[in-house]
Amino acid sequence: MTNSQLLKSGSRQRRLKEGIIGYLFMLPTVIGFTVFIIYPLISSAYYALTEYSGFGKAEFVGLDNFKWMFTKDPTFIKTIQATLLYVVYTVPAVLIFGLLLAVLLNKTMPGIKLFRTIYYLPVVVPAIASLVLWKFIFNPDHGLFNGILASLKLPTSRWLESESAVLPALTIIAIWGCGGQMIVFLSGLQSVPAELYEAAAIDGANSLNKFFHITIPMMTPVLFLQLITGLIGGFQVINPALIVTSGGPNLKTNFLNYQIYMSAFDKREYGYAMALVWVLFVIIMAFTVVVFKVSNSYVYYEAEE
Amino acid sequence: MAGNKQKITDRVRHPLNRAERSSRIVRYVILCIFAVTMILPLLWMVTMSLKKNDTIFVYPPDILPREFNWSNYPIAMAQMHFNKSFAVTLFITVMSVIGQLLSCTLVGYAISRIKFPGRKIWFYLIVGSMMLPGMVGTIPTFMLFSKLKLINTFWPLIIPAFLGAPFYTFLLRQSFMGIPRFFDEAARIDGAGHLTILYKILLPMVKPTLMVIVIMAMQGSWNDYLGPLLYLHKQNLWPLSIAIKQFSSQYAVSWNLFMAGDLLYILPILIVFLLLQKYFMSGLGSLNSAALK
Amino acid sequence: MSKKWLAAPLAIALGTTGILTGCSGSSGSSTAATTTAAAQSNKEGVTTAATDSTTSGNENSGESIKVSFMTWESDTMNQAILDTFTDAIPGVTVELVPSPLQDYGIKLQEMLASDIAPDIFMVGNDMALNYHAEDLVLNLKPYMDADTSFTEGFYPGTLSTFTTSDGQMAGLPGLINLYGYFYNKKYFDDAGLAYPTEDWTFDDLYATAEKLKDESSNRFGLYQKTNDVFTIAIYSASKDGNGFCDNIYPVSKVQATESFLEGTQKAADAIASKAMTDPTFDDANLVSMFMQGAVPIMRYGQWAADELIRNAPDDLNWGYISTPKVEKNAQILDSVGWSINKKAANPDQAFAVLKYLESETYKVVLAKTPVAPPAYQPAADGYYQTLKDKGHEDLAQGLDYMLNAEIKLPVRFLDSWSAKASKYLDADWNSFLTGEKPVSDIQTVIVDPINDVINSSK
Repeated sequence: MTNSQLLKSGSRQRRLKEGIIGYLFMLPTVIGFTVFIIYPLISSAYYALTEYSGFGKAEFVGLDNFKWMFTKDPTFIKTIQATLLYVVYTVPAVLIFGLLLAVLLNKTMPGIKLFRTIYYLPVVVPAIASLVLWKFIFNPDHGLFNGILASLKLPTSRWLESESAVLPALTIIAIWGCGGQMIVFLSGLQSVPAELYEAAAIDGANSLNKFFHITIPMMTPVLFLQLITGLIGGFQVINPALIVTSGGPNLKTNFLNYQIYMSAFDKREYGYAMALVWVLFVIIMAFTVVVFKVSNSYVYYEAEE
Repeated sequence: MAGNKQKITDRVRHPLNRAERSSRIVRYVILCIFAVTMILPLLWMVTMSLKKNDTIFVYPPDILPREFNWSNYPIAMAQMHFNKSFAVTLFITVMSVIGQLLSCTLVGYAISRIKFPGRKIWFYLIVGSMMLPGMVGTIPTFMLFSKLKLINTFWPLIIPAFLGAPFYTFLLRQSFMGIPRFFDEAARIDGAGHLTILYKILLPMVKPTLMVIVIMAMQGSWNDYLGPLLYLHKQNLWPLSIAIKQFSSQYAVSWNLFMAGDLLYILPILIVFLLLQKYFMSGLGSLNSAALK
Repeated sequence: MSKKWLAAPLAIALGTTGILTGCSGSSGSSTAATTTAAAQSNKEGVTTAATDSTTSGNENSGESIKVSFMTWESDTMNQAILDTFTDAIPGVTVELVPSPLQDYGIKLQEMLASDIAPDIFMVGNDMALNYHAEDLVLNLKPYMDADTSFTEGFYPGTLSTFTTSDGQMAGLPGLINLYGYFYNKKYFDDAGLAYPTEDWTFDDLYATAEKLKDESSNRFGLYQKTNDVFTIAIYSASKDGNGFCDNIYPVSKVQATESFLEGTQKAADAIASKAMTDPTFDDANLVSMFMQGAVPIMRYGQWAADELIRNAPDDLNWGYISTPKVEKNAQILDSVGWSINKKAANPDQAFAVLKYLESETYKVVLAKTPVAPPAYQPAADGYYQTLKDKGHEDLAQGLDYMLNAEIKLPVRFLDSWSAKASKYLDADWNSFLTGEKPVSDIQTVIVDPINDVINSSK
C-alpha cells in the first residue's frame, strides 16, 4: 500500500465516522423534523384534498376545497386582505418604533438603563394576559383609551368595533411590544464603528446625514433579519383575533391563521382548514423569497472571512 | 450660588455643552413620554385588580388606584389554585428550557462544525421549516400523542422541546459560525472530541445566544395556552395560562379578580426578567450578530 | 469541566422524569372509565350495568360506579351542582370535570377524538346534533320513551331542539336561554313614556329607542349585539309565520320574504338614526354598563338578571319585557344541554345521573343562582320563585310568555352545511344593516348562495 492509498482509506473512514457522529448529533432534529414537520405536512397535504370534520372517515374530494376557496368562499378575499393589511400596518410600524427607541437609548446618560427596562417590559408580559388587558383599554364605553382621549378633548372612536379603527388599534398594541426589536437594534447601533461617525463629522455631516448614510446602511443586516422574522410572524398572526377581536368587525381582522384555527377547531372543516394552511404557507414562502431577492442588493455585509 | 457660578464657567468653557444639554433634555422628555405610554396599561391593570367588581366600569376610568381591595389577590389565588398551577407551569417551563438547550446546542454544533453528508440540506430544511404555519402540526401532533395515550400528561408539552426548535437551532448555528475554527482545531490537536469542543470551548463563547434561547423558550412555555388546553384536561394539571380563564364564565366575568390573577401570572416572569435583565439585554443583542452572517 | 456542563441539566432531567411518569400513571385510572369502548350495546337502552366491561381495575368491584360529567360553569356553580349529588343515586359516584368556557368546544372535540371524553358533557344543541352525526353521542330516545312522565315534563318544543330528523335524541336540553329586553325605568320616567307591555310591537321598540337616544353623549336608545338573520327573522315569523329558515332542523331552504326585508329595513333605519347600536357592537360588558345606569334598553340573555339581582346598585330600577311582536308570539329558543358519551361505560347510570341533574339538581341550584329557566318544567319552580322573591315578577312572566311561544325559531344553522353557509352571513350580512347595500340585494347576495350550498350538500 502506498502512502497516498493509506491516506485515502483513512480519510474515507474518517468521513464515515464524521457522518455517523454528525447524524448522532442531529438526532433531535431528525426525529423532530420527521414527527413535527414531515408527518404533519404529508397529513395536511392529504387532508387538504378531503372533506373531513376531524372525526371518522375523510372523504377524498380532489381539489374541491381549493376550487370552493378561490371561486365561492365569500370570506376568502376579505381574509387575505385582512392578513396583508395587518402585515403592512404592523411590521414596518414595529421596526420603525423599535429603531426609533433604540436611537433614543443609544447614548450614555444617567437613567438610560431604567428606560431600557421599561421599554422591554411589555415584551415580558404573556400575550394572553396583555391582549385581554388591551381589549379592555380599547373598550369604547369605559376603556382607558377613550377616557384619556376624552379628557384631552380629542375625538374618541369605537376602536375594536369600528372597521376603520380596528387595525390602527391592533397596530398600537403591536408597537407597545416593540421592545424586543428595540434591544436588537440597540446592540446593532452599538456595533457600528465609532470611527465612521468621526470621519463623517470631519466631513461636516449633521446627525441626520450620519443617520441615513452611516447608521442605516450599517444596520441593513439586522433590519433585514427583523423584517424577515417580522413578516413570517405577521402573516401567522392569530392572537389579536383570537383574544381581542374574534375576527371582527365585519371580518376586518379575520386573519388567515385565525380562519384556519376556526375552521379546524370550531367549524369542524378540518379538510378545508388544511387547504387554507397551504395557501398561507405559499404566501409566506413567496414573500420571504421576494424579500431575500430584493434585499440582496441593499443589505450591506462585511466582507466574509 | 456656587452652582450658578459653576454653570456660567461651564458655558464659557464649553460652548457646545448648551446645545448638548438641550438635546439631552429633549431626549429625556421623549423617553419619558414613551416610558409613560409603555407602563400605563400595566399600571391600569394594577388599578383594576384593586377595585371592587362594580366600580370597574366607572367612567371616566381611574388611572391610579383609588381603592385598595388587596383581598382580591388571595381570592384570585384560591380560585385559580395558584400554588398548584404555578408549580405545573414552572415544571413545564424548566423542562422545556433544558430540552431546548440540550437539543439545539447539539444540532447547532453538528450543522456548523461536523462535516456529514446532507449538512447543507438540513440547514435549509431547518430555515425553511420556520416558515411553516404552526397550525399545520397542531392536529396531527395531537392525534399522535393521543394514540400514544399521553393526554393528561406533561409529555406532549415537553418532548417537542427536546427535539430542537428550528429558530433556536438557527441562532446557535449562526453564533457557532462566528467563532473562528482556530479554537476547535487547537483543542482537537490536544485530543479533544466533539463533545468537549462543544461544551468546553464553544458554549462558553456563545453564552448570550444561550441566554436568548433560555428567555424565548421560557416565555414560550410560560405563555403557552393552546398546548395545555389540548393536552391537560384535568384541573389539577392546569398551568397558570389556563387557570386564569376561570374568572370568566358564561354568565359573568369578575374583571377585578381576572386582573389580579393576570398580574399573579405575569409576576414570576417579570421578576425573572428584572433579576436577569442584564443577560436578557446582552442575549437579545446577540441576535444582531446572528444577522451579520 | 465538559462533564459538569452535561451533568447538571441531565441530573435535573432525570430527577424530573420521576414526576412525569408519576403523572402519566395517575392519569390512566380516572379516564379509563370513559376510554373503554366496550359499552356499545345501548340500542334498546336496557343494558345491564356494564361494570365488568371497564378496563381499569378501579371501579369493577361493583360497589360504586363512577359517572363523570363536564361543564363549562364557574367554580362556585360547579360546587353547587356537585353538592346536590351527595348520596343522591345509590351505587353511583359522580365526578365533575371542570373546563373553562372559552374554547370548550375545541377541548371537548379533542377529548372525543382521543376517547377520553367524560360520560356526560355540557353541549349546545348544535354541538350535540353534530356529534350525533359523527356517532359520538348516545341516542337517548329509548330512555325517554321508557320514562314518559319525565319526557312530558319538558317545556313544549324544547326536546325537539335536540332531536334529529329521524327522531333520535342527541342529548337533552338543560337550560333555556331566552333573549328579551331589560330596560332602565328611569329613562322611561324622564321621557314620560309608559313601560312596555307584552303586546308591544317592533315599531314600538324602535320608536322608544329613538326617543331615548342621546347623540350628544354617544348614548344609544337600544343596545343590542345580535342583529343576525335569525334575530331579524323574529319580525317576519311574527308577522306571517315565515322565518329565515323553513325549519329549525333540518333546514331545506332559506328565504327572505317581503316581511323579512321589511324587518331588516326597520332595523337598518334604527341603526342609521343611532337609535340602536351598530351590528358590530360588542356586548361583552353590556350588563355592567346597564348596572351603571348608562343603558336605556338592552336586548340580552335572561342570565343577566342573576347578576343584576346580586350586584346592581339599589337606585337602579329595572324592568324586563319579552321580545316584541308584529302579530304572533314568535321566539328564538336557544338551549344548552347535555349529551351522553356513546362510549360511556355505564350508560344506564349516566342517564340516571342526567335525569337527576335535570329534575333535582336544577331545582336547587337555579333557586340559588337564577341564571336560566330549566327545560324540565317541574324543576323551574325554584327559579321562578327566586325571581319573584327578588321583586322581578315581570321577568318570570316574560320568560314564561316566551317559553310558550306559538312559533319557535332557530338561533343558528344546525345542519352539516352550516360552516359554509355561515360564511355568506359573515361576509355580507352586516352591510345590509348598515345601509351599505340595499335590502333588496339580500336575495342574490345571501339567500341564493346559501340555498346553493344546501342543495349541493344533499
